[in-house]
Amino acid sequence: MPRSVKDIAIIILLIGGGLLILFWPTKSQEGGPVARAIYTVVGPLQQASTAAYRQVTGVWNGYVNLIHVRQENERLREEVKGLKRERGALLNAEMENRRLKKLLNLKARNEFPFLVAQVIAEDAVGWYRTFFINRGSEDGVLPEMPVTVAEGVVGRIVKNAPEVSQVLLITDPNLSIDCRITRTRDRGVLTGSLDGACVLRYINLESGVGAGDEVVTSGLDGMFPRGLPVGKIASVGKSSQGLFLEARVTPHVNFSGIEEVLVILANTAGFDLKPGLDEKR
Amino acid sequence: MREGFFFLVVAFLVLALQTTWMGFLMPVAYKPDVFLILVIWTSLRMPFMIGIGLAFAGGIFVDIFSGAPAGLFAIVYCLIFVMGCYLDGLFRIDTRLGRAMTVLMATLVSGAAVLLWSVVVGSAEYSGYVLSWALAKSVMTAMASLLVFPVLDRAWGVYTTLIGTR
Repeated sequence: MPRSVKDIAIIILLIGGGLLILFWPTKSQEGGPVARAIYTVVGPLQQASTAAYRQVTGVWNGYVNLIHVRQENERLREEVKGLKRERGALLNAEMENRRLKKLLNLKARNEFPFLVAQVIAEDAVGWYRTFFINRGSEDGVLPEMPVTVAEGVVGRIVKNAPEVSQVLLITDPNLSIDCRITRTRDRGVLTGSLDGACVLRYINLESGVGAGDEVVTSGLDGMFPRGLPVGKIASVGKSSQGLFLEARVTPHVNFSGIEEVLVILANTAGFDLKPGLDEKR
Repeated sequence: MREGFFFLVVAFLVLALQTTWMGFLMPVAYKPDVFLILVIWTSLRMPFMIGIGLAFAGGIFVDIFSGAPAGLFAIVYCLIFVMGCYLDGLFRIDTRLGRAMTVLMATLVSGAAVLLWSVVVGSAEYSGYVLSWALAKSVMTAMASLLVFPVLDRAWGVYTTLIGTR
């Protein structure tokens, strides 16, 4: 228990220091020397721990899978038949899509340079929705860069060090993305919700949006490329002020199961806002 | 600064464990805050001047390894450290139940600080879920403290036997 003036002075000094760091106006998102030193010490520990963890979970999952392997085989055979049919239809759609994109002089999504990164750690305390990947500024990863997987948008880079970067997930309330509802073409701002889902705000009151509608990135925030899948609308209601509609969105990505991600390395400014700019250059 | 060395080694191990293996045991959102247990343990076992410095340093570590803004957990852990010392002075909390109750309260304080900051920056919305989440996480952390405290005591005992306290 603090008893002397010296004890109280040190409390005030440390809390004052903490407040100073918290409210310091110009914060660099690139980790400082302290953060880099800590990442250097903890990084290898995390990588070794994650590797061991994956070995153990691999063995465990293998055992669990073995139990259900017969039913799984039956189900997969049926699924393969369905997927073959879908593949044919998708190939046709892809061909048509390519032709149309060429005509409209739009950039195809896969033209963006990207980098594969491995998830090495999750948030330390669990109050936030973040994880760490094994790529940093040495690999060209910078704050604000979008992070995706095949199923859809994962989040964006918030902090980085030479060998590690931190990704803020779309389910965290601190991340906002400009999105569009595919069917109605209405726009809204997607933010994370504390219960692990997302909320799409500021949708036009006149919109005919409904449960099951797909949500994709609009590309208008200059951060995420246009058309990346985000999730599916679960329910729609009026906002508390009654000026807009709000929809709860279930993300396509299962965040607890992610092992590898794609970091889109393109410049963060102006995705799809100026189509054909690269060709003009 | 032998206490400091012990704290640093344990802090790095806790960080590595907390960010990797803990996800295997339970969902990320509900995992216990073992670092906070370490801060409470420090408040009961270490001299005030050293302990509060270590709590501040531990807070900076957590700020770096979580989505928290730099400085938030440094302040919160300092306050929790002072709270631990104060409660121990008043009620002698160094019993199983006392420590678990202190950890429960401290986790609630830490959660309240995180959510309060989210409100200040205007990103979070409140619902009944938030309260039940914070409460569940606090209970998990309090339960984990029943296991973590003896482990830390044991490790500290071995360390002080080998190295000495001063």
